[in-house]
Amino acid sequence: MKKYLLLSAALVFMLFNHAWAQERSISGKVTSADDGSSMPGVTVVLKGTSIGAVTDLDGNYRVSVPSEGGTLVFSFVGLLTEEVVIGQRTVIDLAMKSDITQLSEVVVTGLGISRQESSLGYAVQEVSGDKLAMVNETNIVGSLTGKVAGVQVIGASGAALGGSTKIRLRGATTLGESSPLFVVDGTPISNESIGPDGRTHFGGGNRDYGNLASDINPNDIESISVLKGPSAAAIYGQRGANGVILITTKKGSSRQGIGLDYNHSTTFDKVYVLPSYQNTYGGGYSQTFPTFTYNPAVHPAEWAAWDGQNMINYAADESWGPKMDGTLVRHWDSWYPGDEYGKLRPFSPNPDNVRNFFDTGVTSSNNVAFSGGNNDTFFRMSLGNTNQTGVLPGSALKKVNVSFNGTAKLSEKLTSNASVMYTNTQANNRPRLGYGSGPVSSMNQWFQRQIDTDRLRNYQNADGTQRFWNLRAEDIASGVTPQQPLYWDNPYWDLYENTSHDNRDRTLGNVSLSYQLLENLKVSGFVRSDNYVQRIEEITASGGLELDRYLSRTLTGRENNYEFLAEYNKSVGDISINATLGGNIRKNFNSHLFEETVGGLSTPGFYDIAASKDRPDVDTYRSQKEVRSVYGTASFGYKEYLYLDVTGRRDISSSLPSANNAYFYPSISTSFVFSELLNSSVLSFGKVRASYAKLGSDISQYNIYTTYDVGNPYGSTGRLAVNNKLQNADLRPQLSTNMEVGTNMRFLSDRLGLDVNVYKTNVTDQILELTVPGSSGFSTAIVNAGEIESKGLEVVFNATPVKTADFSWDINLNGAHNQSTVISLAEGLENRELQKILSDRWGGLSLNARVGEKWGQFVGGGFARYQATDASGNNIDHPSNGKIMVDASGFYIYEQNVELGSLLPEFTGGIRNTFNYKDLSLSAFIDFQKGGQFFSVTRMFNDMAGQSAATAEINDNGKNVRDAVADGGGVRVDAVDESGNPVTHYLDAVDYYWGQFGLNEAYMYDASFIKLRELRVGYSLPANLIGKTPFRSINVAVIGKNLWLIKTNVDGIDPSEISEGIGGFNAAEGGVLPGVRSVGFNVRFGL
Amino acid sequence: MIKNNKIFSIITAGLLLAGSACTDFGDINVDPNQPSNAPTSLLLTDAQTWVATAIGAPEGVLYTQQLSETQYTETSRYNQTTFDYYPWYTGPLANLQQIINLNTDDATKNAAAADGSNNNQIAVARIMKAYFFQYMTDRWGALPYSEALQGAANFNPAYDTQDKIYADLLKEVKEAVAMIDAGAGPNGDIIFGGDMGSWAAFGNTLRMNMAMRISDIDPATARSEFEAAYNAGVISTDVMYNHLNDANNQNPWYGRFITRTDYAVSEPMINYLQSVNDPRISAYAEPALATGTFVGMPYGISTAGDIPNSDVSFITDNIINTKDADQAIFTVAQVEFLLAEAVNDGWSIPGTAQQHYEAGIQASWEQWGVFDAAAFATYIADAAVVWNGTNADQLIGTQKWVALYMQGYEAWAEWRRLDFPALTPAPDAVNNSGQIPVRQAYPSTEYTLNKANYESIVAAQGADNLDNKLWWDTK
Repeated sequence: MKKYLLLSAALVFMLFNHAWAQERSISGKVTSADDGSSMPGVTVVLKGTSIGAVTDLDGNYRVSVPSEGGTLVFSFVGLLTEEVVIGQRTVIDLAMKSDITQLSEVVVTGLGISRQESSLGYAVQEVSGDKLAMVNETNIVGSLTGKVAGVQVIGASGAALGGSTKIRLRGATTLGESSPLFVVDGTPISNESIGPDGRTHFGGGNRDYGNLASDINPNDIESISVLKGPSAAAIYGQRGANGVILITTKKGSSRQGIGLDYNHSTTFDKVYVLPSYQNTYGGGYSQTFPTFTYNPAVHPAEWAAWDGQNMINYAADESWGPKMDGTLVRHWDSWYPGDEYGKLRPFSPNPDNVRNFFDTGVTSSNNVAFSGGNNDTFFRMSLGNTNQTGVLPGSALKKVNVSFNGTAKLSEKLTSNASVMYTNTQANNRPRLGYGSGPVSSMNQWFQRQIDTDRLRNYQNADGTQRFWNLRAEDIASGVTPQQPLYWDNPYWDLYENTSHDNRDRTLGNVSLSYQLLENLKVSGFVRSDNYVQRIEEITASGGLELDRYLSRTLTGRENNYEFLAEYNKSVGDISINATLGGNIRKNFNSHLFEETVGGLSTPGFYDIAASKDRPDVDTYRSQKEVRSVYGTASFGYKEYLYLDVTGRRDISSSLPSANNAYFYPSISTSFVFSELLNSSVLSFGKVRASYAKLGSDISQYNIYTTYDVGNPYGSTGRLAVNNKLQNADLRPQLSTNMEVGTNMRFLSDRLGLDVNVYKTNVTDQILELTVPGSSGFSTAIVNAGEIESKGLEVVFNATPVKTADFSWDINLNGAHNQSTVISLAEGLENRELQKILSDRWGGLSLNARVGEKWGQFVGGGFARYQATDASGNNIDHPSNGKIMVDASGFYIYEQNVELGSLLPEFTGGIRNTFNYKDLSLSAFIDFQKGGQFFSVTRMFNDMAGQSAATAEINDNGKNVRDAVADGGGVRVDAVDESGNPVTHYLDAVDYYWGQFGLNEAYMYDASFIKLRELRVGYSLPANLIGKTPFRSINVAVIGKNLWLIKTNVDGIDPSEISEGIGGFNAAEGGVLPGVRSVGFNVRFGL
Repeated sequence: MIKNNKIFSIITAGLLLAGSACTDFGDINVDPNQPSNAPTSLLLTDAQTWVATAIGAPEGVLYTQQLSETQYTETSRYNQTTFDYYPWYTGPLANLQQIINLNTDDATKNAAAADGSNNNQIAVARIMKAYFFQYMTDRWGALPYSEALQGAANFNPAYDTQDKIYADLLKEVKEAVAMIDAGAGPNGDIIFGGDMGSWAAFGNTLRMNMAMRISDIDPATARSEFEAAYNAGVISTDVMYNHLNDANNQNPWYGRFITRTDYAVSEPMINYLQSVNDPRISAYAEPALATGTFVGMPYGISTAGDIPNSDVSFITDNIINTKDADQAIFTVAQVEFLLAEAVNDGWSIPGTAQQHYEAGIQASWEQWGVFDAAAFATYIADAAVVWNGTNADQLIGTQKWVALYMQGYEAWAEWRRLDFPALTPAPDAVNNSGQIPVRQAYPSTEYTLNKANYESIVAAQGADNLDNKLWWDTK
């Protein structure tokens, strides 16, 4: 295959590289008159001849002309064609103006090549840096939310302090999770998410250390191109199968003096979305207060006076207790020495006790960038810092970004470039996520409604021991100061004592040399590297509920790419050609050192591996992978309205069996700018495009050869277990096939624009880690199997309804519909379990890929529903069919394995409205999602533990549902009995809600939402005001994030921030961090 | 074109740099983090640690009301229907199968023999497989058995009905004991230290227990197997699982009580022990803190959270506060009660039923360290305890229930077989029948991953719930 590629490339070169009389050489650079950016792809032709050239990536061209000179014609779609008389000049630079009737965008495409959008045969959507930075979002993935059709961003709550933000392009294209490739200026970078120890289930204890792309400084970003499908991403090979996020950073340019840009923002975060709580009943299990019984045998004499006093059932972490009617009781803190010792206080509500627990978070960031250059060298350097304190007390994050980018022309033909980014991120006490761990879980799910959070802030006794509300009856019975909490630490102890610290150093960048071999041929070499070292320490404090513990973890990741690229461009008559030929070696190295104490600490308070009471858990991991690739592209243009692109790539992957480790795949795409032929006054631009691509892909390392799992030794006897994953020595590469067609049209001098794209992607022969019945002896098996088909529609609509000299209104709307269907799985299998979300004890909810159905089906415990049958057992019509059935006592009948809907949304999108009045601008961004389901553990326990408003509402008898059923209380249940007869029951509230444990269907929610995500009101000081100052520009703005959850179907949970930490599909949440609303200001100026 | 040649050599050199021609990566894809070969001794140790999980599970002790849950009474109110059995296949059974394979395969058997004679390793693996499979079938009934553990050869194992499984288990244990040779016992054996005599006795004991388990449905087979097993020699000392003073190998009940207080001794157990003045009460339970007396925790009520922990008796500190407290795998008491039953049924076993019955009680007292000859004499004469062959099921059932304290799943199986003591279902049961479970339902994943086989066994065996009796449970 390599031979074939070389040969075709050689042919291409020879065809168009015939020699002619070279008498003079004219060179120059074409830039945009609008913003000074370089203009690639501009055709430069000597008038009346076929001699010509096309500008390269940097806008440079070189053309040979006869000694007598002549006239050069510069042309490009969307730009005003210009003719320049050569005269005696050898350098002709030109700033080209837009043809306002023919505005065209330049977008960054694969291999970082800037191209006119009109020439592309596939959909690429680009978002400029200023749109991303509208509200100074610190995670670049988060800043893409809603801005690109077909991109679903699943964000962590702002409370997560740099938590992982996941991105899904065009729904699900594979049977597993599919994350796009991130590329910064040609350097592929890791966007892994880091959790504490690889546990991905939300079972608790996870701290989310964020996704690695968040190391990129948003202030350094010029633009992000989203290559959504395999066609656009074909040249990235296997890793482009799920799309590519192509980040182009800001560069220096030739200018006078040194430019300086400064950007500051400060935002304030407050907890926004919390469930509605009931404020009628406090902690306990019954509506009577337990009382204190004095026992002279064990209790101090002074306690005798307390005999008969009302207590609270401190052991209850639920609120099914007595009415908060002001009765005097012994609150938890009255058992500790201090001011409240032995005192009674009223038992009364604290409606905002959960909200009061949180602080106001502050995020402050500064960035200063210098840039400058002359004709031969230019540079940009940028320094940024971000300081963040979270809404969870004690959580804080600091980030420092440094970047440098420099280009120097070492000679007329040799250009060098170096760019490097360094980021250091340090955080303390990132919140723990998940059910059963951390304060949010305890307060939102298991709590006593009367507790005054402020009284918990004093979480330590004078001797350093913990003060907590969840007292054990044993301690009171024994007459001692409370010793150890039951079920929950004091939430403030949890935050301030059970700490974590993490530190990440990230360096990425590249150096390159480019040599202009011929006028039309440039060769370049690149060395690219992405490195990180993440260190994590976690502490479970001595004196808390859990065994004290110290955990330390160091992860390193390195990816090096060695790349060679030859670029050829040429224009002959009406035909322009751009061709590239490249090769790449990619090497990945990862390592991991995990150490955790076991059995507690020998010296309380000494947090070190050496303090482990029992043999500590130590795990070392290291891995390597290498991929060798060659690839080529060729783009042909005819008269600036007809374009054809072909690409081919061959990869050889070290992670596949050597017999099957090399694979080739091609793509072809075409674009036809039909408006060029129409000359319509209504249609200012119109094109149609079509593409077809195949893409090969491999698997991660170490999935071929059988190995054994190493277990904890029994004494000095080691343990090994047969691996639960069945490896596969016969794996083949997987293939995806993508077809897409689209059109881009603009009307009425570009006042209206519409871009529509439809696509279909089939992934076949997928490499899957298939969940198999454990009775086979294995839990999962690596197989080549199955096909999944994704079809979708993406629409981008732009309009400028109003445009006057002073006022303009722009609308930008995007939306996407995607449907991913499972066509087949491995032989004989009808279902693939994607994720076991809840254990069998909790109803066994799972997420599945089932043949013939949409990817991502929930299956779990549900309501049994009535279905009438005739005598022979056939289904017959009945008015009660489909109604929920209850048993004779009125309790729901539970059915296993009920289908509970699909994870993926039907529709996602966003709309931006921008208003400009003179120097004032207002930009509002709303994003939305329709459809998609999720499961809420928080809601389930919010009900079960008697926290939610629903558990203390008034029923249709006018009685509280907690009143005795005999007195007209109880939760009303309207259902049918097992014979289909409509029945009404009133059930004791606690039995009703506890009866829904494991009834997964009761807590499945529709994740649809509409959200005002971003708002910016900015003012740019007018030029006449700052004209005499050194300032080039000054802009001040008020910014807001997550301002208003306009529409949601679930109380108290933000469906756009469903997170289960780093792993999984965000199909469920448990103890999710509350949504956070941010408001602040932004100041930017340039010198 | 000379220039072009130069260009092509640069481009070619660039591509060669990319190493594109070479598909050989050496051993870069060999995982350095996990071994590619396993000594069979390490596989055996790993499989044996699962025994502790099997005996230490909480469901059986709750179903039989030996213990009560304190605040959160889900399991004791039969909230959970489906139970996952996959870990037993992917865990111990996969290891044991691999030990058999490595000792059978000509390519590996010589190397494997370094850890004990091939025959003895296979014998131990087969006995342990039978142990786990009996444990499993007594929970779920029909199971993937003959088609299980075949890896890629069968990702959809069909179920075998329980009668077929029991027939094969009896055969397996018999054959395993018969193949024991004079060679070295297995290394890595943390139960018997490689002593093959103990393995033979343990195998025979298991066979005897299996035989008795099916005595109601197939008395003829039960009798012949039982007698043969007994005559081949059974255990004479308690077989214990030794936990270590190490968090990775600690008693599971100790682990449960580090942060929580979920299980207390149940009211029926405490009340019974008190009613017959049984000294085991002080070995099983701690006095309630508030009163200093033994108080049982009411069983299976929804308002359990209203009862303060200080008002009830928790499990003995010798278990929940003792990291290395041992667990019983099979005891002499169990053997004696089996013999008592056999003699009472007229099977050819030496001794009288009463002797074996009383020896069983004595063995249990000795196991729990409370034996005192005088107290014992009084105890076995108590009207509620004294032997009476016409009331054997009730007497043996009740004494077994007491003796199998903390051996939950075995206690539950024997309770289902003997139907004594009479237990009242949880007052606030949440399962639809409201009855004490007599089996557990298949893992929900089986419905999604092995649907056709699942549906066919449910059609054959009956509804997949907690109420559908097992094949051997005829009474």
